[in-house]
Amino acid sequence: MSRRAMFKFRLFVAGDAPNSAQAIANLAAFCRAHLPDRYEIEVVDVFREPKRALAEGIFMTPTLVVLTPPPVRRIVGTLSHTQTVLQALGLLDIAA
Amino acid sequence: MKPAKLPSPRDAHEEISALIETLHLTGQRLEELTAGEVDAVADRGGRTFLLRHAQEQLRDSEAAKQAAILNALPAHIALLDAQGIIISVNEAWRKFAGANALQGPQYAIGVNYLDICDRARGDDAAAAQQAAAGIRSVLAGGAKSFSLEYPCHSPTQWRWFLMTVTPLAGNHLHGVVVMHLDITERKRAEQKFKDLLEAAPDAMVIVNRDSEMVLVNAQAVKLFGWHREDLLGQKIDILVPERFRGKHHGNQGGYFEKPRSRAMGSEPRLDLFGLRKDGTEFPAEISLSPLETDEGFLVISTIRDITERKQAAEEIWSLAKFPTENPSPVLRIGREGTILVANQSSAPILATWGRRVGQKVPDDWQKWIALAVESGKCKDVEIECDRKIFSCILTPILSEQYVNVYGRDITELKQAMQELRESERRFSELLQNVGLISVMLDGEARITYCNEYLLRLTGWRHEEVIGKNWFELFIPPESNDAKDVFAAVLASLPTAWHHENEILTRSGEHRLIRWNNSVLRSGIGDVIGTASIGEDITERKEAEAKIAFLNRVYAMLSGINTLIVRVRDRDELFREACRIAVDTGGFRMAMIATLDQSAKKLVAVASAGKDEELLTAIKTILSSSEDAPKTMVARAIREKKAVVANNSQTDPRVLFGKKYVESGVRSMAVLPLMVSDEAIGVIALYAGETGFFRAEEMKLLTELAGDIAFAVDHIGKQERLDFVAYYDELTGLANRNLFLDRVTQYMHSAAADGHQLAVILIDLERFKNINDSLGRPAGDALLRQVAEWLTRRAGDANLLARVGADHFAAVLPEVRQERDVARLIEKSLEDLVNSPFRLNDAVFRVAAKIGVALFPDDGADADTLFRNAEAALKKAKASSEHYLFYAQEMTAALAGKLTLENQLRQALDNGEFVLHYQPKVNLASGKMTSAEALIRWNDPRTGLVPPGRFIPILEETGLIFEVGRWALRQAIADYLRWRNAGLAAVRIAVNVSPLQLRNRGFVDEVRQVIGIDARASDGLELEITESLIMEDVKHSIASLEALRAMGICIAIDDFGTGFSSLSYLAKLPVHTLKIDRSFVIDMTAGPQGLALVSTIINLAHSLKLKVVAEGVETEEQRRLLHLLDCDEMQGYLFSKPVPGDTFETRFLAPHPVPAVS
Repeated sequence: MSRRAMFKFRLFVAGDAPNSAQAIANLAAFCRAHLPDRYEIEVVDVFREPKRALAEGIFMTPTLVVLTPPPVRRIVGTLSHTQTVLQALGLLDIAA
Repeated sequence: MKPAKLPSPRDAHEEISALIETLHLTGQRLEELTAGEVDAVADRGGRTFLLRHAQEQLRDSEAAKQAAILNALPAHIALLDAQGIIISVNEAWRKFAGANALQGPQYAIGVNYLDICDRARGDDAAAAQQAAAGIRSVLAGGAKSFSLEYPCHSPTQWRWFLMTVTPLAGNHLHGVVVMHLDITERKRAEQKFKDLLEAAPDAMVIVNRDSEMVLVNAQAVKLFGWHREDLLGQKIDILVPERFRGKHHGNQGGYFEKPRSRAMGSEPRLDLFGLRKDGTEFPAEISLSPLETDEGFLVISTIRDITERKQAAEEIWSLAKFPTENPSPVLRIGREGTILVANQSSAPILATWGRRVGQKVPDDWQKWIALAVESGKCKDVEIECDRKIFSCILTPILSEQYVNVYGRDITELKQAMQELRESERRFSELLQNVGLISVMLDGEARITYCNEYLLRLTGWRHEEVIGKNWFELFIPPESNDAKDVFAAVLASLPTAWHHENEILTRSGEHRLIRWNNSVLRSGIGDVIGTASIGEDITERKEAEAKIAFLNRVYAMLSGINTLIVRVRDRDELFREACRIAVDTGGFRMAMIATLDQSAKKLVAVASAGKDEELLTAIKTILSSSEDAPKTMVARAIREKKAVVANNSQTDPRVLFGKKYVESGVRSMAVLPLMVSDEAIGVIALYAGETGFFRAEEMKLLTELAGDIAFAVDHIGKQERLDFVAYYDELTGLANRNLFLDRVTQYMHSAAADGHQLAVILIDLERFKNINDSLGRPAGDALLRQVAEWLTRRAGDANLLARVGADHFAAVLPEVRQERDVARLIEKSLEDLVNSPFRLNDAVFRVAAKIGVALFPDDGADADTLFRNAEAALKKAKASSEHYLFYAQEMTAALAGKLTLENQLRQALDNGEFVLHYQPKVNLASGKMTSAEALIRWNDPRTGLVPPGRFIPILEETGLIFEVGRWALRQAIADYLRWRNAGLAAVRIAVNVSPLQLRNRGFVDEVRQVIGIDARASDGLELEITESLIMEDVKHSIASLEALRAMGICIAIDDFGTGFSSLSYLAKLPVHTLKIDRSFVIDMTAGPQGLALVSTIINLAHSLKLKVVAEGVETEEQRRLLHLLDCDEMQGYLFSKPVPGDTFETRFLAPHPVPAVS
């Protein structure tokens, strides 16, 4: 995986619910710290767009879908544990 | 989907309970599983369920949001239910509700607000009841909303509130929202506006869109005669006369379409009228201005009664119509002279004439009347009557055959003219006396008028000036533009109205005048000359120039001072200083010249300014030995003070003034640069202005020169510091560091070019002795001379260096063959020996030893090369060779040195050192008197090793201490043994190495050695080389005294090789003087050598010293020495050094047998 790969995220949230709000904040902070200038975040509110959640098989919110680089991965929760997220993104070796 | 069968109520209840329990547990489990990090879950159908905690939180936050919004509002807000009970209030209500009118002890939640309002008493009761009624009507659905403005003044504050009541929720009326908003500010603004309105001087009426008057001020009430209450709410129509109302409506409609301000009198109209209450009308002027308010669009109308003004206008109108009332005389006179008509105002004229209407005018008037009628032209006649003067215009009305006379009272005009003439006279007098030049010229520039001031200023007399050409008399010949200006004045060009030029006085002095020019015209408008007023601004200009000059100098000073702080290089300092002088100081040119100390010549080292030609001329004159001393530059250096020529054109000291003038130089100053009271150079400044250098400027410039000199000195010191880092201060040659740098440079090109390079080290032989005997200054002088000699020889000082006290180094950057180097060195050494150096009026010859290392064979870098050259030099010094190359064998020899050192240590341990003895013989008796002990090394592998091979190693390694001690003990032991054996033991001389004598413990060591036997000291003599003693005379004397006190004899070895000072020789506590073998050899070579030995012997004898000649090898030498009264001799002639046992049997036996081995 190239170091300069672009990260595309889609975050499913339940409106302003607390875990969802926290997940948005955590993801934004994480990207600024670890992936500066190479990330895109799309936030999907399952209340506004329930069909998209259904289409993508999202059964719990907040759920983060990592679209690129492949493979597609999902992380459920507030994304509070940076290490877990790094690991899931395969960035642990680079960040360490 | 089929509806499920309905369960019985009981079962259903249980099932529901179970389901709720399951749901609860599931929810809890889900929370646990997701660690509370999930907000919502979705079922397979995509329906999203918000989990409980998220739901609660969202609800809470929604409520919090609303509360926050309510609390953020400044209004006091309360929610009332349908009964009027307060169910919720916001922060503002809680804190400030007490401030609005509807206060009470109980205004909080749960209280009926309607009851509070109903119960209100006092000032606020009316408002409170109004409020209660409003709330009720909204609650009952009778009104959509209700609002009320009410005052609520506290004793300290004037306050207003707006109360609004709006229904809560839409369909079902649950209650109302009551809001009190503080509108004091708005009310205050309204009140202020009303106050302004009342204070206005004009009547003002404010009208709304419906033409209703909403406000009228006191002036309006007064003007229209209505009561204020009668007007408010009424249509404006009642103030407009009926006949204008229709038009007025149209105007008004138009105004509301396109509102704009219309100021008073901006559109004067005479047809506007106002209508008073009593039905009377008045002419009015009206201004309008639009006013945007909360209550909609209003128009402020300002009305002014212009009745009086209108009347005045009509009076003028009527006067114009009726000549009888004309204040000016109007008469009509028939062509024959009869007065036909005369108005009231003509009375004074008639009285003067003494005529009445119907009579004839006086004769002269008859004549004028006839003339006017005949010619048909108007005539102007003045007539004085009583105290008045009339100007009368006779206007013939030809068709009627009479003349109208229009008189005009010109009494005042006449008076004014009289006054004007008087003022003109005074003005002209003023011109004569003021401090301004007044001069008039005709078209040919001839002077037609001038005032006294010009004459005073210039020294001319009036009659000498009038009629003369202005330019010939007053304008300096070099001012070319004066005539152009004159032409421009005549042509009435505005550019010529003001100008400045110089005029000449009678005595030739220049005065600078600022002129105001105007053109003179004749009555018909032809240009006839010029008139000018001039102010003498010579002094002012000078003062201005002075300030400008000083400013320039200050700016330059500042620039150069900044430079001085920054600059590190002398050339840059000079260059930049000149540039700043020209760029900032505004000088035409600047130059810095320095005194070349060695050539005693001034050299221009930096300059700035445009004129190359002038600079070349200056440089030429400075390099001319004849003219240079006459220059101002040379004078400044000589006198150590600034030289100024404030008019370089006329100053006789300026050598080529004309050239300066051509270059625009008008004055110049040369300032010396003083460093340590010496003028090291000058800075010369050339100004474009005459008289630039006055006291103030010179004070600053002297300071400037001081600053530059300071910087030069500073830079000089800095350079010296740099110099010390890279140069030998004594000789000026490179030091070792710089030399190695240079060698490295040369090595690069040698490597690139594939040729060799040689590093040569030169050691001056016996230099230390010169230093010791003649003192350091002499030594230094010799070193300098040698350095100069080497520089001459090398042709380039950069190839040389001084690398030690008496060590010089040279590099030959390009060597083709080693043979070339050898030849060069041999020739140089020969030349050096043949070159006499003079010190203290004595001639010295210097010999040298040389070591050479070659690149690339002897080292790949400068350091190695240098070290190897040093090694070669050391070897040469130890040998009889004058120069040696560092060769591979030598490296091997050095490598073997370590081995040798070890072998010598072993030799000491194994007792491989032996003493050989060489007898000294009395020349007179031929008997042995003593013997010299000499160390030999009996190497078991190679046999006897010559002393030259191992003594230097012993010295180097410090082994000499131990070996020396051994020799001392051995000699004593031998002596005592011989003596104890009853042999004729002689005193044994032991050589003392320089290291031993320098060792402070030496004396004690000797004492210890001889302490073993009381007779030991009788058998010991110490030989110490002359140069060794001289190295540290004081210490030597002390040590020698101590040794002599022990009964030990002391001999000075190798006498003549050092540079002993005779005065010290006398002081030295020695017994014997040994003449070096070289003198003995030279003795037979010529009379000089013989004389020298003779002198030494006589000298020694006079000092009561015994003299021993060393190296005596021939009978001839022995004979001569005997002849010269030498005491003893030592040498091969008698015996070479022999082993101890040989010495014993051969020389100590009762009948020694002389033998030659």
